Amino acid sequence: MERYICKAADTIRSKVVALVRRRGLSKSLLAAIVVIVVIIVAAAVLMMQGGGGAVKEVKVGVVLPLSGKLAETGADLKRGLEFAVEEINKAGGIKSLGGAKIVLVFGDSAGKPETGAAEAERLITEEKVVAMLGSYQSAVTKTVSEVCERYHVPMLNPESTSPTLTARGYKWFFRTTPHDEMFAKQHVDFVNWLNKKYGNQIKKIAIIHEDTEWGTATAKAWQKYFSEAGYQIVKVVSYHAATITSMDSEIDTLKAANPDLVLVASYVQDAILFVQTAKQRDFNPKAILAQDAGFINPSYVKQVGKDGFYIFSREVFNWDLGQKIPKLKEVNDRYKAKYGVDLNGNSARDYTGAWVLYYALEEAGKKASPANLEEFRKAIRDALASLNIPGDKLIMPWKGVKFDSNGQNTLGQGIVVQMMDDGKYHTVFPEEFATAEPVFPMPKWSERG
Amino acid sequence: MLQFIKEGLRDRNGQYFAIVAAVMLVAPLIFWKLDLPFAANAMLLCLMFSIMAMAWNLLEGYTGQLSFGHAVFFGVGAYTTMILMLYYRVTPWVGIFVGGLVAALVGLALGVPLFRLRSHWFALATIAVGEIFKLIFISWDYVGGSAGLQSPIVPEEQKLYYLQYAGSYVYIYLALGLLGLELLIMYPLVKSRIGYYLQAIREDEDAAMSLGINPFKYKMVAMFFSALFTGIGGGIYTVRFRFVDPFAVFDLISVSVYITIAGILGGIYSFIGPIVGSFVFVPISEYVRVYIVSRFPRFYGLHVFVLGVILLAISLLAPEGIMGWLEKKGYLRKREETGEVRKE
Repeated sequence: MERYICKAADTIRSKVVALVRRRGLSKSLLAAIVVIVVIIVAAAVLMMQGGGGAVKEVKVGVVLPLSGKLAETGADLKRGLEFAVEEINKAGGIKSLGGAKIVLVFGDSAGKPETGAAEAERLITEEKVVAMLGSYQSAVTKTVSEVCERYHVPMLNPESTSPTLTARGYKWFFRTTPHDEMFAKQHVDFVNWLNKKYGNQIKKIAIIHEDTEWGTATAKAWQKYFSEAGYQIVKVVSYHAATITSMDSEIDTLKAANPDLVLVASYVQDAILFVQTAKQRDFNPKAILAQDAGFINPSYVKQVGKDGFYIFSREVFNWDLGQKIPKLKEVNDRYKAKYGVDLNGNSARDYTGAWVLYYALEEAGKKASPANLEEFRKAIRDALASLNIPGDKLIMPWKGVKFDSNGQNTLGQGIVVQMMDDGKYHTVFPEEFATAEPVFPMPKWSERG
Repeated sequence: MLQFIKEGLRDRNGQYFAIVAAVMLVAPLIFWKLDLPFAANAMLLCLMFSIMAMAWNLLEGYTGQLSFGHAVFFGVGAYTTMILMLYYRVTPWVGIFVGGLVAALVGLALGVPLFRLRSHWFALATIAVGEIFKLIFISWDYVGGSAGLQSPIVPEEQKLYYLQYAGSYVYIYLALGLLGLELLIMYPLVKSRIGYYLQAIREDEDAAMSLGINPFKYKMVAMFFSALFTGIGGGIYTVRFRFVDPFAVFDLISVSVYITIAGILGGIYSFIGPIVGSFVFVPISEYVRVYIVSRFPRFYGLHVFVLGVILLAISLLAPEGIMGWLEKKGYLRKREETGEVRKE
């Protein structure tokens, strides 16, 4: 065997030598080889640098959709994170690590689960990040968190709402935002509250939803929690948002069922269609309660105009919360001065996520040093698991941050907003964050000006 | 066997092949030792796209049927492997091949209506088929609907059975093995009578028919092998990322079109062109993304522009693909020796 290998090596060598000796090919080939070798060596040397020395900075990896269809959202989320980190570093960095600064290292998922996973691997093993943040879309968060779980890196997810994410029994995954099922439960609380306030006017409920994972899961959760609470579900209608051009038959079906309340899970175009058709067909339930998404989109607000008045929507965040949360007003003023836009549900949740991770880093720094990466990551995980942040330290309308054994924050909650006749959404529920009294029941189409 | 290798090494092509194979076998070890998961992932993607672009090229380069719908076979292969693993506990060692076969059967079924169409009408129909499959999988609850399927993390002792390893290193050897298998099947196929029939169909379908070749039959043969190996590519995706959803695996751009770009970039009238194309296209797109995003975080999305410019430059400088360009410059032997028909 050895003999053959030696012979083969000899042949290859002689052939290479012959190849190089021949004119023409030799120079360009040699040049190409030299260039390749130089690039590889340079890359290797660059990779080698970085480590060593006292802890001056702690790297945190972030995978977000920075290109593709969601690039705009990704940029928004990125601003929220960067703004929080800037504030943390200005305030003296991580004090338990001698004022070490937090450095965010970004990876672009391009909105694709496989690219997100590869980026997470790069950030974890090449950039040696201590923890991960992100990744917005639930599908990308699924693969990124799987990589983190495998490499034993704590991941904090501030903004994905698929309930399945925290149903996988992962040990290294933590989510600060409430998920879609928690929102559905909160809808029940809100309707109970309305009934108490206005004398049990809501008994019959109809549901209309688009048919992707989000709409379907939301509708299922609604059916479950509302029938458990004793409401009667009189009709459930689904449609395909990407192709729907008319909602006449859907609205007629709903109208025939004569519900007191209609629950809606829609994206933008179908939300507009829903409102316009409801007006055309003179469909007058006592209230319409939407699940965020399309109903809070600026282009929806612009297109439906007056017809959107008095519709309720669940939200994670609203512009008027600053009146009730003083800390939010401060932060938003500074944010607006820097970027020229207000905080919104996405940037505010990521801003909060970065702060929550900072609290955990501060705790972890007391027990371990980033010099021993494995131990430090474990310390961050443990710190996150035992974290208990009161609501007044946050800018979100939450009761605080405390994770259960699945990594879900149990103290998070949404809010319910209603569009008033100034064309803006106002917070009406829960009471401690409310800035306006709800208009209920909503006026009939024929009674409107 | 040793005699065969010895013979092979006497030939210049054989020596090139041996060198490339040796580099491929050693590279993952280097990446692993130096902790370069990103390079390893890029190499895996290169191999995955090599397998699929070569399969695609059997239809385009050899048979002249331009498909923009190979995401269908990729997705079907990926989903089959995942479903077998998740619902029936079948090891992906078997599942990948079953996935390939199911994709090939889907290919045959689609071939019946699709091959009634010619040239650009065929290409348009394949785009439509790809989108239809995406919609079907979005609304099909059994396969997880729009949420997709993710396999759980298995205990240490089941790693080999479920082929679950951190990073891409192990999967590179899997992909290399499958690429080797594809070469072993494809090369004899295109050198056989069937390969020449296919090229005859590409050059002039009516003339081929008048010579007694049944175009439909041989297009179906090409479709079978093309879909088979694209489906196997999907299986590699499943074991590597352990997550499938309709938006990722049935994507028109990042699957169907990327396969097409890799194939055309390498040169479609060359047997190994698609492999060369994949090894040029994938690293450029991956590295451009990573470095542009980390160097110029303010200009997110710039990398897509840079990638576009690079592709445009290559297509202007070498419209016949990299292999065609090398040939023109005299670095490669002319095609007559390899027996392929040159299309001017």
